[in-house]
Amino acid sequence: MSKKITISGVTISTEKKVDTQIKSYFQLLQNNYEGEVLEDVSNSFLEKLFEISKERSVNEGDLEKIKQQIGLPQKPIYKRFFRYKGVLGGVAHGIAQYFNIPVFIPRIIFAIPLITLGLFLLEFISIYTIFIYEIRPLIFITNVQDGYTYSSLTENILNNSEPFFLIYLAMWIFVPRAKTENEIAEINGGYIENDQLYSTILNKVTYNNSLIKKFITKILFVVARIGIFLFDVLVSILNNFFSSLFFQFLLFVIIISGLLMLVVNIVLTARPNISESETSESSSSSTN
Amino acid sequence: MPVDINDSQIKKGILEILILIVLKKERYGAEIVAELKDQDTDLPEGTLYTILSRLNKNNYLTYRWAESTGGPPRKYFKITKSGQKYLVESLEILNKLNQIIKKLSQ
Repeated sequence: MSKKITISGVTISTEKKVDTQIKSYFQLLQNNYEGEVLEDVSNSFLEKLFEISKERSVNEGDLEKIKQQIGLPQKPIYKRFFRYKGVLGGVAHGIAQYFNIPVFIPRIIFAIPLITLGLFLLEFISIYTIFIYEIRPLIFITNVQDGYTYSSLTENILNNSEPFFLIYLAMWIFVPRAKTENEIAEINGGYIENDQLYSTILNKVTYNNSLIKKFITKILFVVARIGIFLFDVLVSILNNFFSSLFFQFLLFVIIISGLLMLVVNIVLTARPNISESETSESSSSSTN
Repeated sequence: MPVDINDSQIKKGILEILILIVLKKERYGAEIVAELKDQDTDLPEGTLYTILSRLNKNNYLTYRWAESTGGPPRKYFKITKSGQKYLVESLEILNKLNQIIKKLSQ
């Protein structure tokens, strides 16, 4: 009933059907280990079989025992996309890990709309202040030559950055955050040590993240997003109104008169040597 | 130096230490596993050889081949001088950890 097989120069006598099982397990080892470790593991496997077959043919129980002694083959970890750590939702960090790129690259891509939003707000506020109004074209590359058209670099970026907001939001909502150590391992992929020992340790370690806290941050973000959108609409309406020549003239008059009031105030209250310099400045600005 | 418990190196490191202690005498794979099993520590050979290979790369152990009649050749492992140095350092860290555990549980 026994059958003889030879693997890597070692002859082993086995029971029927066990020989194919031995061969397939040997193949499994070949697939899951490499180099020195493969050599050691397969030598050890063959030695165990050889020792048994000195006395009798190897049966199924023997093989199961040996399999347990050698342990499960290395478990490959397939790379998966997770949200991980991060400033807001961890989307940028997840992307960086998945594509093996520095974190700052996706972060900048997502942050540019936010930075430009800040610049745009500054620009919007600057309409009310004559000083910034005068240097505004230099900072924000704004086209105010004919008074009716109003476009700037920041506004353009902001208008074209809608997809980034939406992509970020969608990823935040639909991509799970890596919580267990197994999931964290899956971010980078690769191989895990082959035994149950580690996998049980890894499975036990989970991080408790308060669900309510997560929910509130998500809602806050959506509310903020809606707020930004409404503000965007308001800005475009106000922009049309403010860019009219009449309003700009009105604004100019208001601000100039306000400044004159301020200067007069300073002249009346300050010491003579300071008032001299102030009056010379005000006269130059009024001629402009 | 603060001890990073989350470091998976510590988990692996403990097995490394156990193996290096066993390898003060020259032994081959199955003997190491048997020795650890006597102390109620189950170590699959797949893991053992992975760790042995890593220790060998770090020059913490050496091995020699021994031919056997009919069967595959055996690899006998033994700790090196730098391995002993590493072992002493690791045991110091473990002792430190042990002291921390004792102090915390008082």
